[in-house]
Amino acid sequence: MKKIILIFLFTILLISSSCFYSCQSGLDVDPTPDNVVDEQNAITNIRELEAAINGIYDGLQNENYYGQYYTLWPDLAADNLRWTGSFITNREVDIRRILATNVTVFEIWRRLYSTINRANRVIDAIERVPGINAESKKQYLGEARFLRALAHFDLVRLYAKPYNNSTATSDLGVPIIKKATYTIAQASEGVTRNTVAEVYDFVIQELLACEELLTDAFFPKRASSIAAKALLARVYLYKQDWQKAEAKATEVINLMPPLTTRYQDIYQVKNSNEAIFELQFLNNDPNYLAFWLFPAEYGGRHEYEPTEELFMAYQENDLRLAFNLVPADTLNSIPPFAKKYYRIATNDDNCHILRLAEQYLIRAEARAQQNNLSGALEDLNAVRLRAGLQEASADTQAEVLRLVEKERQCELAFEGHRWFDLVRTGRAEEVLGISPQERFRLVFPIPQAEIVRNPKLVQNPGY
Amino acid sequence: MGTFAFLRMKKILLFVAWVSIVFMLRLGAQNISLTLEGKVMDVKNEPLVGAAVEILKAGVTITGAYTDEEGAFWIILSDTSNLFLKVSYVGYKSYSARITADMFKAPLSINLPEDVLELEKVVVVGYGTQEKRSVTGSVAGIKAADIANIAAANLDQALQGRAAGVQIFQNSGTPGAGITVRVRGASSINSGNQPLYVIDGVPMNTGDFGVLSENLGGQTINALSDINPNDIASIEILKDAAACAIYGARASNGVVLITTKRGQAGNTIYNLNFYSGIQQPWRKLKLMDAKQYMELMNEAYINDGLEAPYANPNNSVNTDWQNEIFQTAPIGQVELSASGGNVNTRYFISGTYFGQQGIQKGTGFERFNTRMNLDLTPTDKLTIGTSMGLTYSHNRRTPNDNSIYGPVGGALITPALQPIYNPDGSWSRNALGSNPVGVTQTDDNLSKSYRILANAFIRYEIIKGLFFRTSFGLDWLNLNERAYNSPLLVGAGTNGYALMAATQVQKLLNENYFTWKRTLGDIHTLEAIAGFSFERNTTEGNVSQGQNFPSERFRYIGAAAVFPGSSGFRTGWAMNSFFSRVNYNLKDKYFLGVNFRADGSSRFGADNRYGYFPGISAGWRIKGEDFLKDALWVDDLKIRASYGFTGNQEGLANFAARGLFGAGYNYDGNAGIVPTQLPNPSLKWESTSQLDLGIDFVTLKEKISLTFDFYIKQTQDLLFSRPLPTTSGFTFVTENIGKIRNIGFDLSIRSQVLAPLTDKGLRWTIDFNFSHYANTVLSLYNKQPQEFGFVSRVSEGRPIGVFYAFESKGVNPETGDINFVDLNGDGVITADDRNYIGSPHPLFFGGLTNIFTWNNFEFNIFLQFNYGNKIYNSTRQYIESVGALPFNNLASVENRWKKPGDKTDIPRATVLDLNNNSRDSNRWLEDGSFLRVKNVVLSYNFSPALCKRLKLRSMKIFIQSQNLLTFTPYSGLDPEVNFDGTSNTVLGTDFFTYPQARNITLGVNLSF
Repeated sequence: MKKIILIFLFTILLISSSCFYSCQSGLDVDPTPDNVVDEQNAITNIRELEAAINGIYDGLQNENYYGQYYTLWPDLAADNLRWTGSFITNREVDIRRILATNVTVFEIWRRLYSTINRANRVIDAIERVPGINAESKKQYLGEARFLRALAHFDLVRLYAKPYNNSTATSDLGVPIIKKATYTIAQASEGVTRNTVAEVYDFVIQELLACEELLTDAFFPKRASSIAAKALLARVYLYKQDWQKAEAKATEVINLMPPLTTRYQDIYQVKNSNEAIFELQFLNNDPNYLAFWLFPAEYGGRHEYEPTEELFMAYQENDLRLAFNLVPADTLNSIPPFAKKYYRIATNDDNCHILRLAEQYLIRAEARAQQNNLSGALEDLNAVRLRAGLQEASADTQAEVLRLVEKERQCELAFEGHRWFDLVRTGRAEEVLGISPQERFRLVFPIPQAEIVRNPKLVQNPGY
Repeated sequence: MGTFAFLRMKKILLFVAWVSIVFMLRLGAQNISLTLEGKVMDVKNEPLVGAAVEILKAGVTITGAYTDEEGAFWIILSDTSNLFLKVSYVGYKSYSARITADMFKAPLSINLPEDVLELEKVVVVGYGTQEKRSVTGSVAGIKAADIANIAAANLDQALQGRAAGVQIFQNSGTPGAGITVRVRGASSINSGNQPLYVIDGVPMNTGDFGVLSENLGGQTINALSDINPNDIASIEILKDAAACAIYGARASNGVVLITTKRGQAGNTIYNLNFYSGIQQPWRKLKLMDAKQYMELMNEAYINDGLEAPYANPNNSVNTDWQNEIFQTAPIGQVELSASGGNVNTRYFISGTYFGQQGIQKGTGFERFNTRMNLDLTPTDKLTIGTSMGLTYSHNRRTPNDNSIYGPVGGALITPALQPIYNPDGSWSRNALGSNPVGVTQTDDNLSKSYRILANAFIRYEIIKGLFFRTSFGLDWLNLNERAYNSPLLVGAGTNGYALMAATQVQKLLNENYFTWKRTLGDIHTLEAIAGFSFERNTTEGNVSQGQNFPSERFRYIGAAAVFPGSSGFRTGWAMNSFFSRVNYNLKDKYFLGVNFRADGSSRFGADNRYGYFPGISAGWRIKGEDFLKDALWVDDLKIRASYGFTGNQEGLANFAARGLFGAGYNYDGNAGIVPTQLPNPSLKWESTSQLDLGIDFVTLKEKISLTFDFYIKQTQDLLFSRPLPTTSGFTFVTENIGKIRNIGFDLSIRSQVLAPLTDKGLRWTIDFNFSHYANTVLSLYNKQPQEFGFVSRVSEGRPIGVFYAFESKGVNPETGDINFVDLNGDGVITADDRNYIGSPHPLFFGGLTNIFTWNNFEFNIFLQFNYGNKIYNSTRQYIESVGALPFNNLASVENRWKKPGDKTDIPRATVLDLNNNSRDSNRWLEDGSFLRVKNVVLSYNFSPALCKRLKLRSMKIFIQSQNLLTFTPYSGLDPEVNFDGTSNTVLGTDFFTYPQARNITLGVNLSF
């Protein structure tokens, strides 16, 4: 009997003590060991604020943004790359039969807007966090607003008609999101599409502000004043505001060292003298650009292959040909492939979002459009000479514009330009052989999944 | 929660005081004693060893004994008034009688008849047992004998087709892989749909805790595979709300109660069980040979105005890739157990090894496990017991299911003209750079699981009929995983990629409850339980990755040159619960049961921490009424009704209710954080209400017993990942939105068709179950449909996972392209032209077991059937591409369109496929019905005389086969398929899934 009482008392002691110790936290379990934190505790000091700014750049790195699709699709949709892999989503882009249900079309949209929300949360938090000095505050604000503007511009050029002076105020652009989302109710409100003109105006106003807010302290790994100017030059070019495009490009060219970096060093040396805004990747924070481009024999997946047209676009002695492309090795049956991104073992090739040669080509095009042909050729030839080519000459505006177009194709291959260049100059139908019935395909569809979520969004015609 | 903890402390202190008082009041009284003696035998006068003999007073057992080797028992009684004697033995009808003075005069002789229809079975219900006759809920039981000796790694595999209303689908033939179990249809979209498994009272961790996922698709691992099916004494599946409500917030999907074997008093019984056999794929696909493939590709290029790639379509190489990756593989198990004991100590100890290689090279599963179940009865009021299972299992997989780089996918897509090896001896590579045979050898995906499932309890009878039981349970899973992907497997980078991970999953459970039973005036029986439990769960783990290895021989990350990342985490959840149940039985005719449980979970929003789950049930045993007493055509008749609420919180992230920032979103070596989730403080359980109407009917002189249940099961406040406009920066938020309903019926019939007149005659019994359910999604957020997988959809008014895609009108005889239906008639085929093309849910499913016994032979044939479901065969999308993809094609593509006027269902060969003939459409939809000879066993029992001579208790030899024959119109490798594992929303989709095996084993069961 004594034994039984002892056993029982011991049991009860065990129950009560185990509950006393383990139930103290009761049903409130701490989430932080799971690498998440309650949002009210997330951005409370400068260190956490800086972490949140890094989070915006992380958005740019995503495979649905510069990490893969936004970098390679513009070449795939145009005539620089063709699909040789297994993803039907890529095939649709290659043959330009994109369905509104294409998952990647949705993923790109989603990732860009999530990057915008990350920026908007930071913009709000800057006001809350105590102890930031005025200088830092400007830099933080500038970075968040620059990245937000970049994402808006990248959205409008993919999902809306190119800027057209006469229709831009009525052409549908993409929704401008200036406010961070905090509640379910707020998130559920459907937004509507702003016009193309509104989006361009927003982007330009923001970038003009960023020029003032930003320093060049973290150039070229992060947003800087020069990067804001360089992006402005590009936006003005897309807007066909030739004067301003030329002026901004000139500012950038004057601020930058001369165009003397060897072409391969742009890629082989990280953050070379050429770089204006270079997105950083590391071995433990990788992208898989080389993996998607390289053939299986070199450990890649060869989802994309350079086209005949691109091989033909280069002159034989063009230094860029040998660097950018590897021809087919018929002996060992290895297909041709692109090797601008080549760090297949470490997957840490940087993305060249803004670089100097583009600024020369922007100015060349802007000058040509303003009939300053000699000025245009001067900029064009600066790029050509570096590539080991002869100076080019031409007599008419049209010829110069063709030369610029081709130069952009060769110089900026696989950097996400070709599709936008052909679309904004109205050359896509001719170069890519798009029939009048298929003309609507020059604008990507608004993702069907987003329209289901928000019926206020109007689909682009034809889809 | 501080107040709550305090209140609980107070309760516990009160309880301690109370228990102490009860102890002190305990009195002992002794009178004159008499001895009750007897012998228990079957109808053939063979002794029954270990039969339970109980002495009851007012419905409560006051003492008891087990029969010995000779079937004999003796019990000393001090008081003989108003006592009842009850003798029971598993599988036999019990005997009961009022104890009279005559009984003490001479030893009793009691013969128990066999209970073929299990009319008197004792059914395990939550926190206790009940006699089948008085059960008012819907419970399906499975006997140990039904699943013993089935050559299968997993317990749930063995359950397939055995219980009405329980749909079990093996998604992948990969050994040890996860299995989809649905009790009465799917009741959730985003939360879990698998039932709650409770082993010896401890809710188990189930599912896949592994981190290896790269290219493994539906081949999830399965925490259930750590249980040895042969250790199981019985399985009960609680289906309706009344039976489930006692498990409250986790019971929406049904509850599977597993009871492991325990020792019985008597001499030690040793059992040696052994089987061994082989497995083979039951089907292969007919693919093109090298010449056919080259001709097809030439035609495709020429049709598109391009140059033919193969100038000379004759090739000396003609690899049959399926033959190269599939194999005839061994399977086997050996088990030794010992059980026995005396009135004070009883034990069951077992040790088992199970091993299986996969039918695809490079895969396999092994398990070692031991179990010790112990019961101590130091005094007749106190019982102390433990159940302990230790398991080590080892699972080897290769990429497959949702991967075209895996051996199965590779074997189907790689053209026959490719050799296995290059002339230099290296692996050749297909269009994707992979080699199906190579991948089975060069890559490792190993999961090792170390599992402890244990509990210990103390039960004490405080006063007559009132018991208190407290238990501690532990489920501790330690999972070590390692992967190595060679450069051959695309995805590996250049020089190999390796991963190592360790995950610990821990569950601690403390349960305390009182049970009380009392019979008043012989007509009222009241039974009640009440208790509380605390449960704490944590999962923690770490993963490291390495890349760039010096050679193929080095496969552990220590040899890597580059470390792309490592991570670690810990997460957890807690639950506090209170539960009670009262059963009332009037005259054995009228039954009433009331259940209640309150669960508080850390997973839910601060505004909705606690959920309350009541259930009520009633039964009327009409046979007990006077007007049926003499009806010969009714041996027993009972009608039942139940209604109740259960909850569901599985599959919900531990912190789903909170607004969160996540870490790990780094840039340039600097740590980054981003908002990852919007807060939802009102998040709560999914709540399922279920109405069940049932009837139990026994007729034809106890030859047929029939159970029929009709149910309406409706889940509201679905835990739903509601899509948000992504312009908000968020894609989903978890909210309680939407309703889903299952209406259906379960029918099971057990029949003794032929009963032998003599001991040696032919006996034939049939066990049949048949189920139907109709699943409908009743409402969703703003009626928004959601899309999953290839073509699966969740849409209002449709069953969950309905297929939605373009409709093909067949091949246009003029152009050779597919004509697609222009649903909205706008002249172009756009996303709006997609339509509902079929459902993955069967119209009905079930199983049929026939057992024939003749002399010492027994023949058991079990058929499983499934009718009316569709399968989306996305595999064909890849191997019927008619040139659009650089992959091999089915031999049937020879019937393709070749010239205008051809009438065929296969379009023309084209490389560019501008019409997108191979888009997602009902062209890939197939009938998934099947009838499968799931299990056949022929066994021979050696005669008792022979056994005696060999000094054995019994001996049985058997030959067994699983999946011996399958009849199906489905063209793929297997109709039991889902590439997305146990997904709720992607159902019946085939994408290079590992097929099921057909196996044949020989075995022996020895008992001595």
